[in-house]
Amino acid sequence: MFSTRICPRVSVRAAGLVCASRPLAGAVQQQRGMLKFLKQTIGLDDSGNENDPTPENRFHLWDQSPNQDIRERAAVIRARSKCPVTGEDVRYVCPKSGIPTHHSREAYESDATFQEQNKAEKLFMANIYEHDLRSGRDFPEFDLPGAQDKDDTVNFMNWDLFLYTRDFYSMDTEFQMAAVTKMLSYPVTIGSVLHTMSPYALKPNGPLTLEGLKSLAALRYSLFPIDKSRALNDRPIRLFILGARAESQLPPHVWKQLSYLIPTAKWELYFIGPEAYYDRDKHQYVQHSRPVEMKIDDTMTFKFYSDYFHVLHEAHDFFPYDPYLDAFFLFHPGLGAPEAMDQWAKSLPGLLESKCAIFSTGFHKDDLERDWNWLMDKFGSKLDVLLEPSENIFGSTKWELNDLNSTEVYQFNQQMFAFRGKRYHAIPQ
Amino acid sequence: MSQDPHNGKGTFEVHKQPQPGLKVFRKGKYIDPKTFQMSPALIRARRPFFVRNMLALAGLTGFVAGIYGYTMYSLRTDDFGDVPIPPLDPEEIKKLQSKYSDDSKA
Repeated sequence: MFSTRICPRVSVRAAGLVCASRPLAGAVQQQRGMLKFLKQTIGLDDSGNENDPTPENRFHLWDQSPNQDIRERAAVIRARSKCPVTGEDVRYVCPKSGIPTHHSREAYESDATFQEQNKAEKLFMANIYEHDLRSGRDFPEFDLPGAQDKDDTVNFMNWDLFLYTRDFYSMDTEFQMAAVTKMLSYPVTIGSVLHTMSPYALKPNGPLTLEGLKSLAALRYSLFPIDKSRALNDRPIRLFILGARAESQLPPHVWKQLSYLIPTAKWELYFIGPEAYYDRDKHQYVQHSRPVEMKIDDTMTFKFYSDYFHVLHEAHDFFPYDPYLDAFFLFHPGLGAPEAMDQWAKSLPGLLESKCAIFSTGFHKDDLERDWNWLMDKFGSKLDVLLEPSENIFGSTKWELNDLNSTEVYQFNQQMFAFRGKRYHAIPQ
Repeated sequence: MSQDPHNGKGTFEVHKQPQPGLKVFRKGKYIDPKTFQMSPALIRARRPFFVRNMLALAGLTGFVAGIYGYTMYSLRTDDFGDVPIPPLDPEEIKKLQSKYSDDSKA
C-alpha cells in the first residue's frame, strides 16, 4: 500500500525532471507567489525593484559620479569653493557625504560648526537626492492629482497630511518626498498661507501677528466668497512673484495645484524680474518690452514681465493695487545680499506703498536673518510685520548645496516672513 | 493623465476627475489592496493622531469594561431571595416531590 502510494509521485517527479521541467517550474512559481503573499502579509517582504532608491545605491563620490553634470559640479567646487577653516582651496572629500568640503583632513576635523550642525549628514542627503533624480527610475509621484472632492478638506499640518488629504501618490520614501516637495513648495506655500485652514496661528501660538490676520482676512474675503452666486470680484486675484526664476519655469500643472486648493478664486500670476521668462528653444532668458501672457485655463493666467518691479511700478503698469485682491511673493529674494540689495532698495518703496501683503522666503536661517535685518534697518519704521520669521511648513525637503561654498547647505523656501506697508498713520494728520 | 501637460497643441489638460471609491483603496495608493497593509506614507500621515487615538480607544474600552465589571461585581452576592415564589397547590407539591425522589433513586 505504502509503496503504491509513493511510487506514482516519484515517477511523476522523475518524468518532470527528465522530459519537461515546465509543470514543475509552474508549481515552484506558485509556491513562491504563495510565500511572497505570506511574507507581504506579515510585512517581511523586502524584495523590490532593483532600481528602487536606497541611501546605499544612490551614494557616489561626486568626483566619480556616473553623471557628467555632477562631476562638473564637483570640479566647480574644487575650483571656486574655499575651505571654511583655512580659507584655502578645497582638496579634502568629506568621507560621510562624498563631497569635497575642506582643505585637509585636519581642517575637516577641527571645523566645529560643521560637526555641530551635522552638515555632513545634510550633504549626504543632497548627494543621494541629486543622484536619485538622475537614476532614471520611474517617478509615479509626479502624477499630480486633479480637483479636490467637495467633501474632502485639505489638512495643512505638514507635508505628509497635505499629500494624503490631497490624494497624491503614496510617497513612501524620502526620495519621492524630495523630488516632489521641491516643485510643490512654491504653490503650496502660497496656498497654505492664504487658505482658511492655514497652519500659521495667531501669536503667541504661532508666527502670525494681528496685522497679519487683518491682511489675510482681507484676502480670504475675496478668495472664499460667502455668497458664491454673486460675482464679488470684478477681476481675478493677482499674485506678484518678484525676482522670479525657478518659479516661472515650473510647469503649469504644478501651479494649477494652487487653484485646486482654493477653487473659488480666479488667479493671475505675475512673474516679474529680468529672469522671469526663459525661452526653452533658445535656452536663455529673454527680455520682452511687452508682457508675455499665457492663459492656462479659465481660472489661471500667467504673465511674464522681464523687467524690475520698480520700473513697472513707476510706469503704473499694475495700478490700482487692492489689498483685498493682490499679494506679493518673494521667493528667496536675497534682500540683504550685496549683489541684489541695490535693486531691492529701489523696489521696496513701491511694494510698501501698495499696502498689500508681502511674503518672503529664505534658503536657510542665516539667509533669512540677513534679509530681515536689512529690511528692518532700512524700512523698519514704514512697515508692519505680518508673519514673524519662522520655518515654512511647506518648504522643500530636498537638501541642496552651494557650489561656490560647499559647506553651505540649504533647502528651497525653508524659512519665511511677511510684511506690509503701514496701513494707517499712527498719528492723525 | 497624459505625461506631457502641454500635449504639443498649446492646450492644457487640467480637469482631471477624482477617482471613485474610498480614498485609501485607490490605485497606487495608501493601502495594499491584497494585504491591506498601510503604506509608510499613510503611517507617517497618521502619526500625529496616534497617541490621542489610542488614549480615546483606551478611554472608551475602559468605560465599557468598567460598566460590565461593576455590574458583575454588584451582582456577585445576589441569591435572588427577594424574588417572590408563587404559591403552589399541595397536590402539585406532592407530585413534584415524588418525581424528584424517584429520580434520585434511579
